[in-house]
Amino acid sequence: MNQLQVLVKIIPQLLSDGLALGFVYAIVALGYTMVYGILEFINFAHSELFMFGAFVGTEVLLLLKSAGILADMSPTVALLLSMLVAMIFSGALGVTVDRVAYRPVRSAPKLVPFISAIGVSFILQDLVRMVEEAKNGKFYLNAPTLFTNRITLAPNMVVPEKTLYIVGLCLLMMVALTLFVSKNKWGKAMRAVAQDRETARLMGINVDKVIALTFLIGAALGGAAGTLFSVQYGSISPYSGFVLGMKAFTAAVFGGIGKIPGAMLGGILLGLIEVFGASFLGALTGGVFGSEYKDVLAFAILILILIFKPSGLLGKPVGEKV
Amino acid sequence: MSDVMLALENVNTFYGKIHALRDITFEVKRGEIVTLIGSNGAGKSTTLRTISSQLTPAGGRVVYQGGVISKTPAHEVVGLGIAHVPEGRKIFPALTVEENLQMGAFRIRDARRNAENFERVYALFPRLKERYRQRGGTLSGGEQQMLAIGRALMSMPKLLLMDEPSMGLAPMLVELIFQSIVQLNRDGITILLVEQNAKKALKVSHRGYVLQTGAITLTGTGRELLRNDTVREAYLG
Repeated sequence: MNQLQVLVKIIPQLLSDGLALGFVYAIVALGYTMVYGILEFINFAHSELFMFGAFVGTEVLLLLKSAGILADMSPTVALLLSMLVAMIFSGALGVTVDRVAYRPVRSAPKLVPFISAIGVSFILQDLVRMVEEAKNGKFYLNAPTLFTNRITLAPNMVVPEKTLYIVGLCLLMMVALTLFVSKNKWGKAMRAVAQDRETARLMGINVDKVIALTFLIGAALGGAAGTLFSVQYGSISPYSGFVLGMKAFTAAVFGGIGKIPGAMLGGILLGLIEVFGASFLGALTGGVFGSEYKDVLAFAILILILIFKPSGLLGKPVGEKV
Repeated sequence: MSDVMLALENVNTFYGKIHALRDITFEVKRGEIVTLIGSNGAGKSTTLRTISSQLTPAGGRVVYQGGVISKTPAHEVVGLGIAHVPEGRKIFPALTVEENLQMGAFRIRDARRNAENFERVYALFPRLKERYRQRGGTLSGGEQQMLAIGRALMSMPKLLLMDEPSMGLAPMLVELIFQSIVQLNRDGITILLVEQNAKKALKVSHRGYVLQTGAITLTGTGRELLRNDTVREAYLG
């Protein structure tokens, strides 16, 4: 059996790993794309809202563990509880960041809020690091193990239980967001503000409130994704947000920035490309490029696609609007 | 005085650095159709935008039903009963006809009243009912104008500001839009109209004002203005 045949056998495994990673990217990408859709602004600090949520969620789990409750409670409840707390904290932080750092410079040239966002990003990284070092003597956290079971979905496809939870919860959030944006009055107002802010005001829509709501939802999703990430990969540091955020942002552009379904599709595809790339790269290139080049492969594919479709997979062709 | 619905008192508005409105003073009485005429850049749209609080006057006051609204945020002005049909229709292109109308009703919480308003708008413009699931951006110009007016009506306005509602429409549709303006006024809505088509507008108006480079230069009843030599020469061609 040659190397490729071995790889083919692990495809189901790769699929589940790729989906777990891809769904996390997708949820984080939503935060970038929603804010961009409304403000045409890249919230560079969104990755830190993800990181902050990861810390909050993990701290909740550690708190339950040190109180001796974690072992006795259902891991599902523990996961949901930590995720919920993380969503509340990240959501509140997202709204605060907008109010303090972005709203005062809303009408300034576009570079100004962007620089403000970079500043917020550094501040949040170092604040979390400072607090964690003071509290635990180290700046990273290891998440307690929640799920140990592995579930056989098909022959050759044995999936850790936690992966199923992560994919399931991410799907649930996507469905909820889609329903909110298409059916709820405030969700529709979000779309109206994204299309034409001035006219939305004429409808009696409080635009500042809608923008705050957008930050709240985007940041809460980021916080939830952070908790899931920490549970899936076991540890988190104040700098974990940066690379993941970059990739999630790329996923948002890849899918068509400003488009909610685009962020979902882009995130999932990027996760799959990355995981499959890591395993197949070595075999396909005869060992010239190993799995450490997975990001190079992923980004090469993205650049290629964007050359031919600059507006992203689900974006409208540039120039159609007017 | 109680029959004055809207009064602008020495209003000055700047548009960036341009002094767009200079000491504008005029009033609209309850139940009237009042037209502002003037050439491009005279300040007609700026006047409407100042009333709906999209622009804040640097001096003077906008008084509506006895209260000063010059500093009220735009999204609250709607709740007071002022709806603005903006120039260029400005419908939400990616929202459906129905969703566009729902946005117009954003501040109406009473579901039954909302349903009644939908019926009323669909009765006024049956075309909108036929297309209620279609995206706003796919409508024709005339349909978009109907949608823009219908959307404004969903907020149950007492005063309707209309900016160039007949612009770019075929003659038959222009007729239809003017008919609907008269109809709405009969139903009790006070209307402040800005129109390029001064002749048609003055014909349906009780009174009119002529704006010239940001200042009011002439006023009279619709009929008087139609007969006025200056108006005929400059705006009726």
